[in-house]
Amino acid sequence: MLQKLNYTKRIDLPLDCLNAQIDISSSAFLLNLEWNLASYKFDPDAEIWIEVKSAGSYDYQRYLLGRVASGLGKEIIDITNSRDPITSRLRYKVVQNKQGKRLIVGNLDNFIPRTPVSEADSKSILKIKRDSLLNVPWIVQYTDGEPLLVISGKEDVYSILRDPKSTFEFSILAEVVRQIFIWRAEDRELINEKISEAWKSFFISQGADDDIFDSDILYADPEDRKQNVLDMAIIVSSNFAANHGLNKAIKLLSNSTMDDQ
Amino acid sequence: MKKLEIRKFTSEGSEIFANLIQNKPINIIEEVNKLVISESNTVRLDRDIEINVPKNRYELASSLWSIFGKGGPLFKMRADRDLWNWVSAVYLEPLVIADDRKDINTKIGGVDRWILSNSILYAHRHLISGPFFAFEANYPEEKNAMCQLATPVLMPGELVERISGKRQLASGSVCHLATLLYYDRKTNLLREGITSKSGSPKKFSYYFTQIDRTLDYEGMSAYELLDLLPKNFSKWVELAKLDKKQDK
Repeated sequence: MLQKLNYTKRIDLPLDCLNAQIDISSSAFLLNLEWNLASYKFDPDAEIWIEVKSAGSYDYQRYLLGRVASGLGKEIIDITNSRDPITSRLRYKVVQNKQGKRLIVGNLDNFIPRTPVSEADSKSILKIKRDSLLNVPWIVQYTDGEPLLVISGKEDVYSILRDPKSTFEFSILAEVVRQIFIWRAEDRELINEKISEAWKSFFISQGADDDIFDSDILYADPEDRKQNVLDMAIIVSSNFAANHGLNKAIKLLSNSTMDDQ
Repeated sequence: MKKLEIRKFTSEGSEIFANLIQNKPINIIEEVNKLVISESNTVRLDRDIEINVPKNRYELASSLWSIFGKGGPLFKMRADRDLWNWVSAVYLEPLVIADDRKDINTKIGGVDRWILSNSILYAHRHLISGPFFAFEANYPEEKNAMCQLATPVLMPGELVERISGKRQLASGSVCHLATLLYYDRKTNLLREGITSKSGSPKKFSYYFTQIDRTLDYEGMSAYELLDLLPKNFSKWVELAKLDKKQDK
């Protein structure tokens, strides 16, 4: 209850004011930050801090990013020595000194930076975008012959779904793979050949028959092909889940749910 | 003192260890000792560890620091749960034998104490990695974390549960503040009566939850925070100030 009182007229900042991404280069984990506070009337002398925590541990570091000044800024922080950099969560604070007290006047909590989809697959072929107007948690869109996972920026949906440890991997990715498989198997235009080939190779690596992508194979009944694609989509999605330990994660999830009851 | 090669459990090794802790067979110590050197359930890491019986959590964390701490040979593996599970299995016998309580089941306790949970809600309860991570989170001012490190390894106590269990309290100036309030440097023990209603660790935790979105307390020193605490902490604040006076 008391947490909801706002003694400092603190502004709870929207996700859009901060852009954060973890880049992995030559075994270093670099947190790239870019922020825009220009539309808020913070004191230019107020300090901006970023706190970096790891999900699942009490690893904690904080860094002064500088003064508010014009409200625009960017910084790169090396978080290699965090216990688990890929699961970093951020808290972004604007702090003002008033009468010897460090008051929080701007706050954005539990922000999850964008990361490669998995550590092993840092050159992911799946692009991910946040859309602050999207009314459903996520959808797969196809733009210029390329699939794009769009996640809602409303409320905390983006942060929750991008958490690679808790929700994202085992609740979304297998279904995303299933949907993209159907798109790729049905796509006859192949607008973006490079992307189409990359996805085809990926699906074959996950157990798809390569002739499912061959549009020259004739079926007596077009419905047969449709059913084949749907069946193969489930196989590929299941293999992907198994290969990435998602089934184990689901088992763990269901066990913990039973424990909670 | 026992010296042996460090290993980590395979995931099956961790599962077997968890089952042993869960079911607590009569010969549990014997079974665990067999498991830690089982070639099929462990992976050798080509480093040695010396197993002593630590007096408290601080002594345990200090001894682990040279291996798993910054600059140590296994620093990069310190997030590996199967490794911590193996280390805790190795410590089970000496810790249980050194504890003079009668009931072995009470001494061993729940699975979270020996198997490192992947949930932040329970991970701090791990008897071996818990002290190490409290030490690490406050290094090089690790003495500021005595509120989390002063108790016996098998009996961490309520203060550890309150402070280690909340990320915002477990490191930095708030952790130092809890040490100033509740830890007696003269005896190297926690002060007596800290769980009494007034100014208890529970109230301490509530207070910082209340001001979490108002005050940037992580940016203030423990002594600045001492002056901010409400009146119900006055008994502990006075003791902390007395300690400070005696330092001068």
